[in-house]
This record gives sequence, structure tokens and C-alpha cells, in this order.
Amino acid sequence: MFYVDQYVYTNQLRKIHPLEKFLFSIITMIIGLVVNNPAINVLIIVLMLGVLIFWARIPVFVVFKMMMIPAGFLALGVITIAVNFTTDTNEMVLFIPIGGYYLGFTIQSMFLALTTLLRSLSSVSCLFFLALTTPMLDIIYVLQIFRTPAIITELMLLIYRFIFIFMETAFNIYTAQSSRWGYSNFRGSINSFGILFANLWGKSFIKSQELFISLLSRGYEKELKVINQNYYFSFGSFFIFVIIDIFILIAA
Amino acid sequence: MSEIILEARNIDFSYMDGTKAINNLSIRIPKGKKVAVLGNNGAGKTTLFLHFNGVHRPQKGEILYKGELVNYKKNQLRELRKNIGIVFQDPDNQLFSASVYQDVSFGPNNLGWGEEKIRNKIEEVMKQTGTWELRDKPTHALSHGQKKRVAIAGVLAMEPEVIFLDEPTAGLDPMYSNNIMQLLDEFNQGERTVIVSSHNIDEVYAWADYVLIMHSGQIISEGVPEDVFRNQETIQKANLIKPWVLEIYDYLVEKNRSGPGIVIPKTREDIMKIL
Ligand SMILES: Nc1ncnc2c1ncn2[C@@H]1O[C@H](COP(=O)(O)OP(=O)(O)OP(=O)(O)O)[C@@H](O)[C@H]1O
Ligand SMILES: [Mg+2]
Repeated sequence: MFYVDQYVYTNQLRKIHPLEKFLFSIITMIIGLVVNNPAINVLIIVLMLGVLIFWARIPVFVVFKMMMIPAGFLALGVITIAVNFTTDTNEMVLFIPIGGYYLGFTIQSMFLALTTLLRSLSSVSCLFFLALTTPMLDIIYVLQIFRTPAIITELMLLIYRFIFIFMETAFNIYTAQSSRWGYSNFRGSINSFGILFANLWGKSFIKSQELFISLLSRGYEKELKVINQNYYFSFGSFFIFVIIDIFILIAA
Repeated sequence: MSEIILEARNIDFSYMDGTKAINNLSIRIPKGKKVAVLGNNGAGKTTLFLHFNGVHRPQKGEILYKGELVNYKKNQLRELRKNIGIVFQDPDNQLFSASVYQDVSFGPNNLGWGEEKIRNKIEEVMKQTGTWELRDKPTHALSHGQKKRVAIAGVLAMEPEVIFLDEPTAGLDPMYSNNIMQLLDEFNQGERTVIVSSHNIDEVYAWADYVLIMHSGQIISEGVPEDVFRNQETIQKANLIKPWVLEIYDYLVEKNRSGPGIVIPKTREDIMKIL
């Protein structure tokens, strides 16, 4: 998850107004969910991955690795849809008898499973489009446009920053330990990991206190008031997004 | 005697675990000067700085700002924090946002300036600190020195009257150390007071108008750099050594290879002129 972060900051669509990307992602996702046609879902997946790879220029392996994340979860769900458990074998294409029952697939159940799979994958590809082209702070900015309560957006802001401080601290402790043979055998590993874990909490606590002090000294009162760099709407990209969605709608 | 902008009178401060970090300390910080605070690790420099914008409250004694007693009421604290900026020792404790630009905008936003003014100021300080090129990078992808410069930009942007910098050049490469010290010089021009803590004696010797030496929560010596650094006993007590420029100059005078000049050399260039 974390190594993906660097691609988000360097992708070619980074400078496009986050609202454009957000709307494109959401609208395309809704089309994919509303239109009941697996071919359209395939089209959406192809287009989204195409945009990510050829326009945003995110390496192919990163895109596919991301797509693999929900694969196991989806496979489980899909198999349970595809498999039927009944007493008659009329429509079954393939089955095994268990007791007086039969476990197997029908044409319909397989088709249903396939459409569900494609639909989910097309939604996932739309979300990943957003996740891979839009840094977290830009997404928070979009949430602010939609009047999300400040408490939520501020928490997101701090959590996002702290994830990295947390990771860095953990990584530094780990390096310090392993460079002194802290993980050379099983017992040592368990011991070192315990120390790492305990220290991580202590350190995080102190860090958050010190952060609070430094916020106070810059005049923090109730709100984390910040301004963003200006974002610019660009008609070029807006046009392309609209064309893609219209194309999908016509195909549907 | 110049005007005193900040003053501490007999203050004591202990941390919750009982560590006595400040011990009956008194200082007077002259307005518009470049002040350096030196002292061994754990001498209490950071703790002292945090007293001057109301983050720590002395358990005994008092703090005065422009001759007025700090009473820790909300309005006064706000005023104090507006006028007195602190750049923290560890930039990771100061940068709360993953966006460099957002982070620098935080202070000015709290001052309630208009957006246009804030944007101009952000651009100005980010260019001065050489962080403008970093504005599209996430904070966690910056090097330590880069984070430090962003942290400095975030406080300079508030245009404080007094600015404390806790080891501003620690971890910076020589070019940026120089840049930052020059920047602080410029900042000082407009009657602003700059106070740095540092372990770099040569840098401090060349830069500061006034030097304070701390040890075990007390000020053990203060004055103009050439006087303070000539006092072997105190500088040894604070784990310091004499700046090399001064050392060589005094040696030359002693060996009669150079008459005691009217202006004592401060920098590499100064001493080369004598030789
Ligand atoms: N949060 C804390 N809790 C308990 N003791 C502390 C805390 N922070 C600092 N101290 C102690 O207070 C004393 C003064 O610390 P301080 O950080 O002010 O030193 P310093 O002069 O800034 O040192 P350095 O040069 O290492 O930055 C030290 O003995 C330190 O151990
Ligand atoms: Mg310190």
C-alpha cells in the first residue's frame, strides 16, 4: 500500500483538478453499476486501466498488483454465487452428488457469477483510478467541497501524515535492532518485536504531544486552518473525461 | 542600553518526571539583536525557548514581554504566540500536514490574513528558504534538511517580532546552513529579534551579536561573542571549544605576529586578511 504512494505523487494526471477526477471516477462507477450489461463493465475496466497505464503513466505492474488486492475476496464471493446446492440435476452443467443432494453449477448461476465479478471489478477499477491519480490531500479537498464536517477532514489529514511518521519510526527501530542482530533467531525476533511494539506506542504518544505543542505555538485554537495550492480546471482533461463517459453510455 | 523585548526573572521549571530543566534562571533579551544560546546537550535550551511563547509555564518566577508580565490569559497568549515564533528542533514534530504548501499556510491562516496576502507570503518565504521547488512533494518524501527548511518557512511566514530557532542549521549542508544564517540576518534587519540555539561554535561566533551559555538549567555566561568565548572555564563547563578564528587570532597576537586589531576577525575571510 505504501509504496503505491510515490506513484500517486508523480503520475501524469496529478495536476488535474481533483474534482474532475473524482466526478469522472464516481460517474463511471455509477454507469457500470446501473447498466446491466457485462460487456459495458469489461469496457469500463479496459478504459480505466488504459487511462491509468497510458495517460497517468503508472507502471503496468503497479496497476495489476492493485487490481489483485481484491481478487481473493471477489473470488470467494463469486464462487458462492456460482455454486448451487439442490436436489435435482436438471440444469446442472457439472455436479457432484453429496448425500441426496447435488453440488454444482448451472448456466444461470455461472452467468450471474460472471456478471457480479465484472461489475465489482469495474467499480474497483474506477476507485483505483481515483486512488492512483489523486493524492490523499486532494481527496480531502474534494470532501471539503462537499461540506464534509471539519472534524472528519482534519482527522484524515492528521492520520495520513501520522501513518508515515509511524511507519518511519517503526522502520527505524527495526533497522536499529536488526543491525545489532535483534532478529537473528526466533527467540530474539519475538523479543525484539515486543520491544519495537512497546516503544512504538510510547514514541507515538510523545510525538503527538510535541506536535500539539508546536501547533499551539503557531496559533492553533480550534481549527486546522490551511489553504491549498490553487487547483485549476483544465478543459482538455475535462473534455476527455466527458468523451469517455459519453462513449460508454452510447455503447450501453 | 538597548530596549529589552523579553525577560525571564528567576524562573524554575521541572518536567513531570522530576527533571529540573530550568534552575533559577534570569535573562534579558535585547530587542533587534541576533542572540545565540549555547550549551551542552540537556542544558535546557529547548525548555527555555518553550517558556517564551507560553507553552511552558514557569513553576517559579516570571516572564515579561515588552516589560509586561505574562499572565497566561487566553487573549494575551494569543498575542504572544502571534509575535513570538518558534522553529522546533525536530521538524517532524512541527510539520502536521502531508502537503508542504498547506503546512506553511497554517500560521498565517491563524493570524487571520486575507488569502491573497497569505499566498504571496507563502511564495516569498518558500522561495527564500529554497523550498518552493518542493511544494508538490509530500512531506514524508522530504529529506531531514528539507523538512527543516519547510519548518523554518512555516514560522517566517508569520512575520513574528521575535523568532526562536532551535538548532536551525543542524543537519543542513554547509550551503544551506549559510543560506539560513543569511536569511536570519535579513530577517533581523527590520528590527526583529532572532534567537538561535546551536552547537556550531564557529557559526555562532561569526553571526551573533550576543551570546548566552547555558549549563544545568542556568545561564553561566553572557555577553558579546569575543568575550564569552575567551573565558576558557565557562566554555569548557558547557562542553564547548573556542572558535578557531578567535583561537588563531589570539595566538597571533600573543606571538606578536599581529597587533591587536581594532576589529576582531569573525570569519575565515577576516583572518586571512590579517595573515
Ligand atoms: N518531556 C520531557 N520529560 C522529562 N524530561 C525532559 C523532557 N524534555 C526534556 N527533559 C529533560 O530536561 C533537560 C533539558 O532538556 P532540553 O531539551 O531543554 O535540553 P537542550 O539544551 O535543548 O539539549 P539539546 O542540545 O540536546 O537539544 C534534560 O535533562 C532533559 O532530559
Ligand atoms: Mg534542544
